[in-house]
Amino acid sequence: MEKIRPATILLVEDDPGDQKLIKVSLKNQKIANELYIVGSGEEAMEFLYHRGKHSVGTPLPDLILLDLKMPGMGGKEFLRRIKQDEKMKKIQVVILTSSDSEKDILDSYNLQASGYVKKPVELEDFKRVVKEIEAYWFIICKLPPKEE
Amino acid sequence: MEEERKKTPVKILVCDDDPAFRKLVRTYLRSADMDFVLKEAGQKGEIRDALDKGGIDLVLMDILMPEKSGIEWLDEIVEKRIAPVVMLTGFGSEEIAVQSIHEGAIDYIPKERLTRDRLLSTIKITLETWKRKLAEEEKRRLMEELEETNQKLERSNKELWDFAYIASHDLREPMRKISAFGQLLQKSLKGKLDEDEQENLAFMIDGANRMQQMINDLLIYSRVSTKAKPPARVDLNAVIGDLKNVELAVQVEETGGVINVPEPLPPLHADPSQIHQLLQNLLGNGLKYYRKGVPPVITVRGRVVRGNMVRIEVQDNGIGIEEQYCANIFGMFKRLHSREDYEGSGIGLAVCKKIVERHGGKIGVESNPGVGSTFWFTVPITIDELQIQRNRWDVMSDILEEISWEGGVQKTNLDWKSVKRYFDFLMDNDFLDAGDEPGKGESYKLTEKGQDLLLKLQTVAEMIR
Repeated sequence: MEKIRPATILLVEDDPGDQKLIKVSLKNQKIANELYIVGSGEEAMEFLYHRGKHSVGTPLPDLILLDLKMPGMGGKEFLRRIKQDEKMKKIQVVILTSSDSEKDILDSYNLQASGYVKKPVELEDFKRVVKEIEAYWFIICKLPPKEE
Repeated sequence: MEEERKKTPVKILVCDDDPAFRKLVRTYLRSADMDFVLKEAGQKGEIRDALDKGGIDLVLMDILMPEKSGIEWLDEIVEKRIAPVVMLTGFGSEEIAVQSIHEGAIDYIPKERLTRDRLLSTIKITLETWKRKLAEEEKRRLMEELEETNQKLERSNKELWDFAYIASHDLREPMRKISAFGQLLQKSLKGKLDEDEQENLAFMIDGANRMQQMINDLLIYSRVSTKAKPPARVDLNAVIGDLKNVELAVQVEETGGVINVPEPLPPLHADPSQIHQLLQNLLGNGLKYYRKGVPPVITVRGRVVRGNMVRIEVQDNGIGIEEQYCANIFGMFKRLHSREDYEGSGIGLAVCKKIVERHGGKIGVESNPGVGSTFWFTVPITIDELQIQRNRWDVMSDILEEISWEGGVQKTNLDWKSVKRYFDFLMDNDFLDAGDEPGKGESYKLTEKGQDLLLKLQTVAEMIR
């Protein structure tokens, strides 16, 4: 049996309400996960490149849950930048947004998002969907191995 | 017009520095059978005074005026739309005369060829031309104004809908938070609140949910114009088939309802996804507002009307609608029933209306309370179907024309194979009558109804060409 290592998730989300809802949804999951939360695209860059207040050196996440509409650097710009970086581009990025515009969906996949999920309106649906995203990526899928 | 002129005298201003010429004009006008008031001006100051005073119907202007030339005066008079101008030209000034026409003079008269008749007929024609010119200008101005207003309206309408879309989109997020955290609170406080407090919290969450629903509906409504797609051929039969098997399948099963399409429906030229939505709403309503204990039976029929539109009717056997409500059920958030009896937020028919109107059609309802309702709408027909329809009319019109021309026709004289369908149709509907000469084979005549149809077909054929 493989050694189970904690699955790390980086949530890039500016809305504190959604941050909390996602945190609540991921709690009590059987998967041992570590959730890091940043409030903007800029902060997410700092997190990944160990700069600014994230200079302590957290390991790269396995999965990024990315909101599209954020002040400053939006989700798409953030996605474009990390997919251009050899080291970052293997990280799976799932868009989690309230937009269901065709343009946003198309743009996201063109920028190599791994998935696109619209935030469900109903609380129960919301919780279920977030749990299912986690289960899909950490149980069903084989993620690229961690670099040590 | 002639009479009118006799009643109110025509005021003419003659501008010429030659008193002898002015006298000639005066003499000619005095002997005319039209009523004239003549004003004479020989100098710049006099012309200025007369023009400023106004009330002039026509100006006769010498081209060669001292101080300020006739052309300069012409420019001013044309610019201010004071009155029509006829230029008076001297010998050898033909070129300037032609130029003056370009500058806005209505006509010119060479002085050496001035006769009484020429003067009078020129005045008459000039007044008429002027009147027509003013009317045309007014018409053009009104058209431009209308066009401008239209564009403004279109712009502000678009802005409004863009605004509604963005606003409702952004409103949805905070409402989602109120509802979600309300529910979290409800869960965590379970057992810790008394009945009254629980009810208050439930009201709060219910309100937030309804608000979310309405914002959603508003989004759907505004999308009819903001997310519109170009028209294409839409097969309604397939649309209804899809709805029965997918979107409305649960409702059909739960109610034991039936959706009938007795005759194939004509194809439409419309936005496919909007037509899908339109039918879904109308059929959905039919399945929703049924009488308790009476499974809904919905019948969809279609026919071509006014040559280029299709009229679709969705008939149900449901609860029906009181007549006084029929007119305003297509408004936004209009509900006739309590939320407990029939759920829904009252956006469905408003969306239907907007879709139909976007396609240049109309929507309406006829209803019999306790018996059922028939919702109908019109949308444009497909272009190829329009062609088929045109051909059909042409064939029928040809048959009728031939019969009417010959005063009766032998069946054998017709290209029977190609016209049989139409011929049968004409017979079945009493447009044709079998002649009463037995033994002479089958002979047909136009009935009165048939003659009427021929006229109508010919008019329609003219109209659509």
